[in-house]
Amino acid sequence: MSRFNLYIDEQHPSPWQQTWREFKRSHVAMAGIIMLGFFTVVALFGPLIAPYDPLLQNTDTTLIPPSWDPSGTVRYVLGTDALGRDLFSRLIHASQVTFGTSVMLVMVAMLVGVAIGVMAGMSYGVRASIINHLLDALMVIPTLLLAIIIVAIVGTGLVNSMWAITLALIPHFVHHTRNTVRELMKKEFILATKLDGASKPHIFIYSLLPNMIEMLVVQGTIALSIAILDITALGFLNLGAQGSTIELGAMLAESLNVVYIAPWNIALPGLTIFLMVFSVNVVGDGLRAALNRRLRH
Amino acid sequence: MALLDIKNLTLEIDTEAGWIKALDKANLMVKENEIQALVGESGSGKSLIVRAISGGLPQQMRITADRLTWRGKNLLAMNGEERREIMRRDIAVVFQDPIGTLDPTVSLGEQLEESVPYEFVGSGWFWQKRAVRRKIAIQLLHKVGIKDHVATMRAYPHQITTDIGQKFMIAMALVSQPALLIADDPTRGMEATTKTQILKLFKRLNQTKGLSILFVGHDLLAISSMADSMTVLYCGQTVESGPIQKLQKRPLHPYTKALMESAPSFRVDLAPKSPLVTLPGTIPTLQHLPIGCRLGPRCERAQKTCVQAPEIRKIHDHQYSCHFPLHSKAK
Amino acid sequence: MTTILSAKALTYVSEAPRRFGRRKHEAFKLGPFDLTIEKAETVAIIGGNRSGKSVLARLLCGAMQPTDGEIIFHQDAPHSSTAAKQQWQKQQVRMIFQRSSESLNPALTIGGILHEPLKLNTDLSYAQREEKIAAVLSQVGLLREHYFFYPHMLSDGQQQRVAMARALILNPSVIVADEPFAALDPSVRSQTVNLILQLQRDLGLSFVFISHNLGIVRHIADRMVVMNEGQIIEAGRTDTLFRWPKHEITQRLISAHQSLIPQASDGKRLK
Repeated sequence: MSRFNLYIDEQHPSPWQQTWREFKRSHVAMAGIIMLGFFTVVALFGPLIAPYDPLLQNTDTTLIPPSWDPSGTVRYVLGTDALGRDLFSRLIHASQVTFGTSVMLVMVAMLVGVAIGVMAGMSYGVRASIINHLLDALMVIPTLLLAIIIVAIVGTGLVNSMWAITLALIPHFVHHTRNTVRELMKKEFILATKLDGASKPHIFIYSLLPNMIEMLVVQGTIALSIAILDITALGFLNLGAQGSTIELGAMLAESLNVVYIAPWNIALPGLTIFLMVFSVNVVGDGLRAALNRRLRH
Repeated sequence: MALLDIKNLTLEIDTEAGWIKALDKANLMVKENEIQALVGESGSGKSLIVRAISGGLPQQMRITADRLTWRGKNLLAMNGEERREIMRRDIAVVFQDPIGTLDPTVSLGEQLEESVPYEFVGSGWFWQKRAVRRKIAIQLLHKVGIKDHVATMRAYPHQITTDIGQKFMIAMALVSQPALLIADDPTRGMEATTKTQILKLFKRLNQTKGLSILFVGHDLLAISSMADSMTVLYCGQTVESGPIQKLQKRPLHPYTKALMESAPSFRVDLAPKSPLVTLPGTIPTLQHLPIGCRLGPRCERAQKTCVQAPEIRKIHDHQYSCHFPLHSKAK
Repeated sequence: MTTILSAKALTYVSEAPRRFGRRKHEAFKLGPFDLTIEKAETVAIIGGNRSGKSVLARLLCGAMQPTDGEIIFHQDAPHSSTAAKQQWQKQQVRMIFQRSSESLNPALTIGGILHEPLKLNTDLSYAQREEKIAAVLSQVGLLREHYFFYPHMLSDGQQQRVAMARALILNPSVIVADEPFAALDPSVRSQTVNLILQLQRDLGLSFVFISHNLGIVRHIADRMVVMNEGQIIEAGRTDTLFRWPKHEITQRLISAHQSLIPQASDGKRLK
């Protein structure tokens, strides 16, 4: 055994690096992650990129088509809307709101969900099963419907709709966390750690969490795509972002009046939503496939 | 006459690092009425040989062989239909984990009756056929030593113990009256009493029914008590084969010797608590197979020439492939 | 010989699984029995399935609490408080599991795995822990480099060594192993046996293990405990038990094993 060969060309990647290596092998997933990176940059630095104030109305320049149209102009790259506001700037600001809030609320949902899930998974008896079955029952209701109900109670508005979607997403995280924790708790290495005299927080941080991260990333991407769709849907139904807050779903709803004379007003926000959800899903899929492949090795 | 004859079987697996020879010119011959043991540690490719015989290899594997014949008929040239027919009637396989290979939702009796080939059932009304099937099933259970057939037939896989499970699997395998039974490590993890029962059952089937058995495993104690001849596999290469007494009395390949010595029960003069003789190092992984004789890096007799794969040499029916076998003096 | 660990009237009763609308399953009952383990001796526990071997092993190392009776550790603890004493006792009796692949945390490096027991049970500084880990790794025949490896990169035998290192790192006096050889290949198994023998010689460890492999039991065990249905039916020196088994079940186990051994008859082996 002491003559173990260390090959120079061979690396010993950590489980994470291995996942990343498997992930890179899929070109579609790579395209997805680049797109996702682009949206992240837009969400972070949106206002610096946008050429105009998204709320600036100009009656002289209403409904100018995008620049590639013969009657379009380069000054408004993606054209303008019925009130003469620059569509490009509005899209950037709207993406910032939609994407940013989605990421934020997924993070909150994940934190709360994991906390409850770990508690449910590590404890036994009545308390655990109440948490478990009650929240599992909630998963039957589609998140969007749940969100609409919550918004109907607490009132419309972007912040309220965010809370609503967060609450609707929590059961998913609880469910998956609890299942993973239950599975892990049966493993012998947890027993070994317990025999070392580890406390529950120690077991959680060193034994459970590192083995859970990948599940969380995958579930996080799924939740993110749900969140984006829900937040735009609520915006579209006028239950979400109101007034001066620009949001992709609300943009769609506003442009409905001019859909025949200025179709780009509907097509461009729609395309943005599509790309956003698509990239998130592709990345999530790629991650899941990479994980499966890694575990099979 | 040889039932199953495998000569220079090479099986390659497509990996990231290109095609890797998981089996490198492996040889195996099972004669009629004999118990042949295929011995190797995990990663030696013994399960791959079983898979190559039974067919149905996945896409990323390809096999080439000088000979892979069943009763003189080339298995590689056959189409799927003919191959399945042989597997259905002539060759039966018993797997390691008996309870895992059974359908958990169907009672054992039903599973056994279902697998009775239609040729044995004869003609008649469906209730007559069912009675015949049932009779054959019960006979089989008695044959493998399950006395309480009523309870066993009614039980579901999770309700039976491992030894009943393994016996039942053997009954399932015998249902088509095969000529060859391939048992893939059937006694792994069993306690001594159960293991002996299963081994005795194999021996009895071999003697009374003339059934040939290919016993795959690494439990040398079990193998030496029942097998007639033995083939030793290391990392996909056949290192030694021959009648078991000869191999036991005078192993010629260093690996066979090391394997023999790893079982303390074989050593008569071994003082309690004395260290056992072992090969240094571990079995190389598929990605890091050495060239030439694959035992090379772990072999204390290895010399320069060992980077070339040794030819098969023969002393009567005792075959070995080693440049510096144990009966020659190392220079 | 000094007794290091003794169990008095040890009993364990598992709760019967409640099933709706079915006859109550009989609860599994272990004991009561007494058992002593001497310093630096090897005790093998053998027996059929469901004979309570694993439960006994887990009771000994404190992974399960006995229903009744007690396990006494005959060595003065350097601590005075009861809680500290108990913790110290747990450090002195360490367990090795059957499947080393499952007993190592897949998300930590070997280093991380070995840091854990030290961090939880000692006040050593990081540098001191590193030093200790390096020493233990070489003790079990691994390299310093293995510190940075993840469990899945190691072979079965190496994983078993890491499990051993994990058990040894707290300087225990008793190691309890649940079928440590069952999942190993012959050559690796011999290596592990050699390692255990050597460690026992060097460190004066007591070693309690469960095994189906009577060949190995006979080779390394000083004493043997035969269990059946939660009871110790026979115990004694390995040699004696192999030669003159008294209980019917022991006789069956031994003769089943002997029937497999070729040529070498009993007398010849023992001359």
